[in-house]
Amino acid sequence: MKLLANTVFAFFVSAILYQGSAESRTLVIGRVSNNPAKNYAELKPLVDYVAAHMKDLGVTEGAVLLAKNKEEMTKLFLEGKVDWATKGIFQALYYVQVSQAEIFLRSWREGVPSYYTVIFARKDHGIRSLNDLKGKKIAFQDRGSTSAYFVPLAMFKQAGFELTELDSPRSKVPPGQVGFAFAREELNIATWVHQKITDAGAFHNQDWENPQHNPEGMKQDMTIVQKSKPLPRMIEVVRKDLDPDIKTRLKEVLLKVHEDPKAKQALKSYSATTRFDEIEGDAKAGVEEARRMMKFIGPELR
Amino acid sequence: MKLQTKYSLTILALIVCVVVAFTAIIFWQAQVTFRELNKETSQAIENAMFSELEEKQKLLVRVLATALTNPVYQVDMIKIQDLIRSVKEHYDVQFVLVYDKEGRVIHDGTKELSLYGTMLRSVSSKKLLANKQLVVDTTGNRTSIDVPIFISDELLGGVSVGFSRDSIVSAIKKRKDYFLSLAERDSRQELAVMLSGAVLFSLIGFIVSVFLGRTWSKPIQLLSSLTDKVGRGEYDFAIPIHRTDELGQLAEAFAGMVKNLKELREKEIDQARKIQQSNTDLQYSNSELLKANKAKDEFLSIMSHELKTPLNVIMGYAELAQTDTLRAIGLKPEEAVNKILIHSKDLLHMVDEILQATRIEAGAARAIVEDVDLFTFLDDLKTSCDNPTAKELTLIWNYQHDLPPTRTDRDKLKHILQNLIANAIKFTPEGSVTVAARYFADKKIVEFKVADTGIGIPKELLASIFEKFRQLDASNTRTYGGVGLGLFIVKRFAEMLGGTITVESEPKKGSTFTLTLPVVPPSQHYIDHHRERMPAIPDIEP
Repeated sequence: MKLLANTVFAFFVSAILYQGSAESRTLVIGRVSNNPAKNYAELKPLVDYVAAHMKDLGVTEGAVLLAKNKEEMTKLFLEGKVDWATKGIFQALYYVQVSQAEIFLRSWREGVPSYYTVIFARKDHGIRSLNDLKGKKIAFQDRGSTSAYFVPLAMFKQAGFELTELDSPRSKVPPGQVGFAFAREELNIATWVHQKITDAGAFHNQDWENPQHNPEGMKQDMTIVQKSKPLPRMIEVVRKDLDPDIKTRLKEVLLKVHEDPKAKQALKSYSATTRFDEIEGDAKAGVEEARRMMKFIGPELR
Repeated sequence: MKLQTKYSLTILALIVCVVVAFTAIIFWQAQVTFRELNKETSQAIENAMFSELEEKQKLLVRVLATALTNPVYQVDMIKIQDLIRSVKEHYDVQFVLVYDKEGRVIHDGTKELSLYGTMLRSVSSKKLLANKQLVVDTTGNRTSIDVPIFISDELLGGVSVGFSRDSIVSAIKKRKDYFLSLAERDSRQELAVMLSGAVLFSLIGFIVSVFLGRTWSKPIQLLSSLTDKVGRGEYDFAIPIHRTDELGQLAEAFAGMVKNLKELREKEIDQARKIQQSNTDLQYSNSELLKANKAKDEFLSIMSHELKTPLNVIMGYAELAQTDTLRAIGLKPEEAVNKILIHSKDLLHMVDEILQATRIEAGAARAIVEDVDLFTFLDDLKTSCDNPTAKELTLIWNYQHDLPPTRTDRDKLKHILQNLIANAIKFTPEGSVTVAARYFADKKIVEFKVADTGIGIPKELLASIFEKFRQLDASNTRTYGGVGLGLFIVKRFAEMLGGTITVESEPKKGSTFTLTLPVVPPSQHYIDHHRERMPAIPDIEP
């Protein structure tokens, strides 16, 4: 409760500081959040670390700015109140489109630079491909999930399916369509599939291997029906009109942050990030794949 | 050891024994009661705790089942896991299994869901699925409670919660131990209170014992000290013991004894005093007897000498006259007769003195008063007195006409004065003898003085000069004759006349004897016949 109060307070302080003067040189990181206390604690150490390396540029401190939704975040980007954010690939592309943000770096999570989505079903259900899912139900995570919503959505649409959101996983699917319901947690997705609440589920390959998301007792009864192409694990975006010197320094610091033992805790709290790298090679390919998928999921992103 | 100490120690020992005995009995009874209570109470507590815990467990599982309804229906594994974790974290639970209506485990509370899909074969779960009611199954050291999960009337499955009976027993034991420790602590506290009380009572007992010991022994100590006093011969004291008990009786008896001792002592002292007085008297009498005996010896010696001397003279002259030897020696017969007469007179005088003294001692001497004209009396005395012979001695008379008449014993007065004058002449080799008389009208006395310039009297003999057989020289070779009764008779006669006689003397300077006589008015007869002289004595009234 105290932390929440501190977070809210920090939010307003940060906002006031930012509104007071753009020249105050406070480095602001932003995120859409429905859990401000948790997200503030995740972001603040790293932004402080980075800001501490920008004193010669006039950056005196780091700040966290949390938005209730992506619309608000878009606005903050547009108003120049947020300098930096970490996003899934599709959200990053969204902000690039609507908020004049630019793809900045790829971030590795738990040592993984890229991932892909798996669509799975019970082995005994007889589903071998996406086509077998017509008229069936699939479990996604939530409306903001990249691997467990946007990517499988794009995969289905790319394959020509029409999807409809169900009020409940127990609801019936309109004929000819694929119904989906949000299970909120990866484990629920696996359980729904295993318990035959839904016919299939989708999350990324790491979830598939994670026994806490996909217990062995379930996994052994299930099979992967379809995999997506690899996508960057997470993308760092910055405001396009950010001071070039700051932007350059930000990149320099983030690219070397994994080498600094002092930054270890800050990186860990930053959603278990292990390092940052340039958008090159497979990262670049992943971004491009995402751009292609964006054609199918644009409305959902909005 | 003092009686007080004995009393105190005895009383203290009694009090301590009583206190210790009571404390021990009370403590023992309390211990027995405590044990009984503890036994019963602990059993009751154990039963109550079992019941209470079972009810709590049932309630817990019911609540959990209710909370699981939606998550199970929605297959929200995270919520199910959260609920299970909250139960496992907060309660002493061995396991929690959520299972579907067929008895397969949906969630076992672990992140890995290791029991997921396992078909439960427990009796309780089978009973639950069959009866759709809460089932409590106690097997070994474990109690499992199964509660069905319904949504409306549809059975979704059940939740099975396993409670460790060991832990329950352990919890109960902990509580029992706690209660026992409380009881033991109470017991210890009670013991401490009892011991404190015992010490306090012993202390009070000590004070009481000292007080009683002192109070009880005080009369005895007092009697002891009084006995010491009695031993030292002190009897005049009060016994401040006013009691009615045996000590009071003892004090009363002691007081009686002291009183008797005191009386005996007083009698003894009185008798001793009397004996002492008797001894003193006896010693005095003895000394007097010795003195008397000595005086008698002296008297006999003197008498033999004084009587023999004139007799020898008389007999010598008489023999001379008989043998007619007088002529041969040239002595005239009349001279021999004269010598015989003189010594016969001396002898007669001595015999007379002895008779006088004997009469005085026998109480036969009486004053025979008559009217005496003192002036005439002295004139007559002067005439009758022989002048001193063969001596360089002058007899001087000094008296006036103012001497009053008086009533007295003429002969005794005459005897007195003659004796004093004779003595004065006898002991005055040379010089003078003065006889004086003077009347003191204011005192109504007449004073006669016979003063000489003779040999005087040693101071140590002045006190006894008036005693019988006293003479200045008591030896057989003395210069002056006499039997030593003259002054004794003088003194006694003076006393018979109502007067006194004193002497003042200094050796080699002389002596002065003073006779003081009261002047007694003469008889009317005398007054009538001597009226012509009466004006000379105006103070005297008939």
